[in-house]
Formats: sequence, structure tokens, C-alpha cells
Amino acid sequence: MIRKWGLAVLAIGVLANPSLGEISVEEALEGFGFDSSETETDTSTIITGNSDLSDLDAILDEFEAIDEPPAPTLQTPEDPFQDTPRTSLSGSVRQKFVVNFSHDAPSPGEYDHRGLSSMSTRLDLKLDNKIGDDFRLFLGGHLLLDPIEPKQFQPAQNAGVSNFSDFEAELDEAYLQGPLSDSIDLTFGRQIVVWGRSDQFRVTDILNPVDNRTPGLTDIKNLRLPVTMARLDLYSGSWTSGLILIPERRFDRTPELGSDYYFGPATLPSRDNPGGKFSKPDFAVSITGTFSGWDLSFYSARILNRSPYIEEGQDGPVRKHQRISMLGSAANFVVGSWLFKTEAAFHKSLRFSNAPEKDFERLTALVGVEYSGIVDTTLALEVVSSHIKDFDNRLLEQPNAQKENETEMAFRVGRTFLNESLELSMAARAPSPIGNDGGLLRTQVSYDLNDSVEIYGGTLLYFVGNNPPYSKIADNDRLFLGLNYHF
Amino acid sequence: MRLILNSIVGFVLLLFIPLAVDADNSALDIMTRVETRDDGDNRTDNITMTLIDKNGHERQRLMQSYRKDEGSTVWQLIFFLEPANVRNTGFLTYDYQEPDRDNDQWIYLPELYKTKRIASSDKSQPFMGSDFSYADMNRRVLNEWNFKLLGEKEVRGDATWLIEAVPVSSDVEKRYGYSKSVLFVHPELDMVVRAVHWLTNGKLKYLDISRLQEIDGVWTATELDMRTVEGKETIHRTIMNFSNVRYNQGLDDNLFTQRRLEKGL
Repeated sequence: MIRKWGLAVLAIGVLANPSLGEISVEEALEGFGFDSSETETDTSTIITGNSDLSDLDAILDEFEAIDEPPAPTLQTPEDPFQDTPRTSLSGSVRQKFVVNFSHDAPSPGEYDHRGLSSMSTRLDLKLDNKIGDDFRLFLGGHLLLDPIEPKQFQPAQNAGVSNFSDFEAELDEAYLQGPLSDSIDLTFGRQIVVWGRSDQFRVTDILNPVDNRTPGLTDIKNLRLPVTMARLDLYSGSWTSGLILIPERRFDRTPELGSDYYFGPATLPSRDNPGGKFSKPDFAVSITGTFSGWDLSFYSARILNRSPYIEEGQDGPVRKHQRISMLGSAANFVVGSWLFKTEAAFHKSLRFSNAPEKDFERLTALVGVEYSGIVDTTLALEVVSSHIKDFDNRLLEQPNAQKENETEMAFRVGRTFLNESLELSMAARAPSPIGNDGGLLRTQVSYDLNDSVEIYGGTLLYFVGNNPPYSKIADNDRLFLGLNYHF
Repeated sequence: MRLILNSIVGFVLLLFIPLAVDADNSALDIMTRVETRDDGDNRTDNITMTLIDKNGHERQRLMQSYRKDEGSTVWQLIFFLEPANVRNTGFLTYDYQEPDRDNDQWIYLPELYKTKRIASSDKSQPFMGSDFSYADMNRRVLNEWNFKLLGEKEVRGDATWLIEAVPVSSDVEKRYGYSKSVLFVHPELDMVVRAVHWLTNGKLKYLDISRLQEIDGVWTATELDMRTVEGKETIHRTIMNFSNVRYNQGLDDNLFTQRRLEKGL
């Protein structure tokens, strides 16, 4: 524990900024190549010089004769902006290696998660095409190949391991966007809509499912999964309203059998999804007001819960998704270098596996603050607390492991060096009271080799706790190293 | 990249403010005229920012910028075009000229699919990893500085006024990150053509305007060179190049909104 948190202390220590001695005007002017003795102190002199304002070309010529080495010739065309295409193809290629370095040897029949746990290659492509003056067609997708699979220490008869991450070829965002009038925009297709103000917790951000297969390790840009929506945004002065219909039924991605993050039963129950991939649409509404120094949002949604509960069916247990209701709000306000944020949500019709016959209500509140008053540094702290109304003690047991009242906090510090070519970030997250129920700490260093290539690496450490998930995944500590090429 | 941006063009404004040459000029009079210069409106331009480290290694950022004056407030919208990993990132700034009022700033981060509000009180933060700070990109609030006329100095053969600017309080010094500046004000062009800034961490920053153009009747700095010096060594350098500068473009108010920020170019 001391070793892990020592990294945080080390990182925070580098924030100190030494102050150096004063430098005189004369010394400073030497930086321009001046002789400091030229500086006049007699201010009564009226400058006459080349005073003909109509002949500025001559003055500009004088600037060409700068008394220091000329600026380096830029390695770009004279005007790199001239040919902005209507269609652009961009993307990235990522190679990432992940090593699990803290697992013990498995028991017979269990999977061996020691050593290299992922060696993924991912290609992301984005096609952005302008249609007419105002409309835009956006298509995005990715290919992922990961040849590393979990090894069974001693093969069991019915291993049933799915190739959960060996190959993916998916269409991600795919939408048409444009204005219907001066004050109404339409976006139709697979898209991501983020609600709320929090960067570290999802209180009101419920519209898109998430990829939670490797908690804390998924790149933030790949965390949310796009969903087909028809979205109207209406603009009126400082207010924006959003009306959303969601016909696609897409759910959270969770660890599967064979993953060291999976701690469920031997086989995952099948999913009960009677409507198929598309069915009766969910709907959601938002209203946001943006003002000087502060903003405020209200949200309402009637939506299929992206997380399942397990219920006993005729043919055994099945995973079901309950349609839930949410009322929420979020706000930001700024004071100096401090950004304060708050969110609140009331969820209704929640179902849990341990009490599947009963609907629950949950109230969640978040407060957070970001400080940007230190050069090249950002600090952020968020605390979220939730209360389940009419709590049922059955929820305390696994797999729910829910408490009536829960509090969790997250802290993040980031600092850049070498003119933002090197970045160090550290994010910690833990249920309250800290130390009881574990937590995680992610430390990452990234460096831009050039404008297109970035190398990064770091550690993801889990701390053991009394309750899931950290009581189950504390030995999943990761070391990761990656290379990104953007084009 | 996570840090916010203010008006690049606003910086240019500071540099090109006309001064009438007069024997009775005080430093404050000169700087007041600098502040009140007609600097054009409804401006669009492209920006190429080249970052050069002490080993000569270059990185480059391409941006497209829109700026409009709304009363005493300057609205600015900037989209990043290159490098690819920040493409479509956008900054929206409402730059208020009132001394006790912080700017409103938002950044749209396409990888997060969201617009974030930015606390912008601290103007000493570097802009996009460059040698320019947000303080450099905005006009100075005059009553936050004590100005003193030091004398005169030739810059490329032309005489300029040397004006010292010292923050009136430690709070202002912290916010701008400068313990002192010396500005070279050209009396014929009525503009600052060079500057030296004393950073609170002991380093110096040297600004040189290396290209000027009269565009749509407005004298405009189209190339700026800022060097950060520690001791005698230039530890980093940024060259900011403006192209396709146009004024009086009749920019719609709706351009300077989160709606447009999120839709991109």
C-alpha cells in the first residue's frame, strides 16, 4: 500500500515551482542582441524617425533586417489551409500491451491470468462527409485483434470460454446531422450523448451503455458505446432542449467467463431480450441553460437499464433489463480558478438480482471541484453518494453487494511537462470510508514522439476491500504500454 | 492540450494599437491609446503555430479562428485542425474587458463527446504548450498595471518607446505570471513591436513581431515569435503565423455558441 500511494506523493511533489532571482532590464534586453548601454532614460526626446505613415512598406522592410537570426523556415506549405476537403478520412492505429503482474498461480481448473493478458492492435477509422452546406454524414468504426486468450491451468470439460476480445469489427458512430431550421438540429443514427458534468462518475449519464470489461483500463474515448438515436436539439437564447428517441437495445459490456474481472457463476445466464436489437423506443429529454459563470441542466429519461439483473425463468436464470425512469439535474459554476460541479438523479423502477420481484428507488448526488490555478496542472476531486429507498437486506449479498447508503470518491491530478509533449496523470478512486472496500489507482505517463505518434505506459493498481468488486479483483494489477499513431 | 485558450487575435490587438506621438505622452496615455485602437471586427483567420524545442525539434498546430466584438466583449471560436489527435477540438471564449470579471470559456473534446466549462482566472497558463500564455493573448486591463516610460530604443532602424509595465498587486502578478514587462511601442505604427516579460519563475520571454500586414485597412501582426529564455539559453520557441486574415466578415452571433462549438467546422 505504501509503495502504491508513494507514487502519488512523488507526483504531487513535482508541482512545486522554484522562483529564481530578478533579472535587470539591461540584462534582459541583451536577449534581443542589444547593447544595454543604448537604453535612454531621457524621456523628453520626441521621436521623429521615419514618421511618414503612408510609407509603411519601408518600415516593413526594416523589420526584414532583424538584428538576430531569422525565424526558421516552417516545414509546411505556404498555406496549409487552402484545400479543406469536403470529405475527410482520419483515424488511429494503436498497439497496446498489458501485463498482469500480481496474480498468484491458479488452482486446478481455474484460468491462469499471470503474465501478458492483452496484446491488442486496434484500427479506428472515421469518415466525415459534408452534404450540401449544412448537413454532415459521419461514419466511424474499428477493428481490434487480440491474440492473447486466458489459459486454463488444467482444462475443464466445459470450459466455455468465449473469445471475448480476440477480434472485433464494429460500426461505431454512424449518423446524419444537420439543421431543420435556424433553431433546430437533427442528428439521426448511432451516436453518443453525454449527460451531466462529472468526468469520473456516471450519475445522469445513462443514455449510452459502457464497455466495462476491464474497469479502469479502457481508454476514455472507447468507454461509451454508441446507440441508435433520433435526436432533436432546439435552441432558444441561452437555453437548449434535447428530445431523444432511442430504438436500439444495446447494453453494457461486462467481463465474461475467462476474464480475471469475471466473478459470477460458472456460466453467464442468457439474456432475455424479447424485442430484439430494435424495439419500442426509449425516450429522453434534456434542458440546459448556459450563462456567464454558471450553467444548469435538467434531464428526464424512460430508458432500458443498460445493466441487467438476473431472474429465475422457466428454463433457468436469465439476464433481464428493466425499463427505468430517471429525473436528474446538473450544474457548473466558476469562481476564480475553481470549477464547481454538482449532479443529482432520482432513479425509479430499479431491479436487483437478489430481489427481482421488487422495484427500488435510488437517489444519487454528486459534488466535485476542479482547480486550474497551478501552471500546467489540473486537480479534480469528486464525491458521489447514493441512497436506496425502502432498502432490502437481500441486496447486501452477492452478486448485488449493494448498501443502503454508499459513498465513493475520485481524485485526479494531471500535469504536463516539456511544453505539453510529456504528460503525467494519476487517478484514484475508492468507496468511502477509504480503506474498507478497496479502490483503484491508475498512473500514466505519455509522451509525444512527434505530432502523429504518442507512446504511453503506466500501472493500474487495485486495492483489496471487504466487498465486491475490489474483494474479487484486487490481484488484477496491470502494467500497460502502448503506441498510438494518429492520421 | 487540456488547457484553455483565449483570444489569439486579442493579442494582436494589443500589439497594434495606434499611438499619437506627443511630447506630453505619459506611459499610461500611450497604453490607453493602444487599448482603444480600432482593431477591426468580424475577423477570420488560419493559425499555424510551430513549437520548437531547444534541440530544434518542431511540432505544429493548425487552427481556424473566428472573432467578433460584441460591445466591450470579444467572442472567439477556434477549431483545431492538426495534429490529428486533437482534430475537431474547439474553444469558445467570451473575453470580458471588465477587470473583475473572469472570461467564460468552454472546450469541446470530441474524444469525451462533451463540452467542458473552463475556469479561466489564471492567465499565466501556457496556450497549447506554446510559449504564449493566455495573458499574452488578451488585452491587458490597464488599471491592473503601473506603466513607466523608460526611454526609447531602435528596433530594426525605427525608434520605439520603451514602456515598463509592473503589476499593481501580487494577485495580478500571480494571475498573469509576469512580475514585469517592457514593451516596445512603435510611435509611427502605434503598436508594440517587441516585448520582454519577466516570469515569476525567473525565466524571460522575448516577443518579436516578425511580420506585419495591412489587411482590410487594419494593421495586423501576421507572424509572432516568442522565445522562453533561461539564463542565456533559449529553452523553447513558438512561431505563430496567421494566414487568410479577413475582417468585416459579417459573422453571425450564432457562430459563437456551444451549438457551433460541438458541430465543428
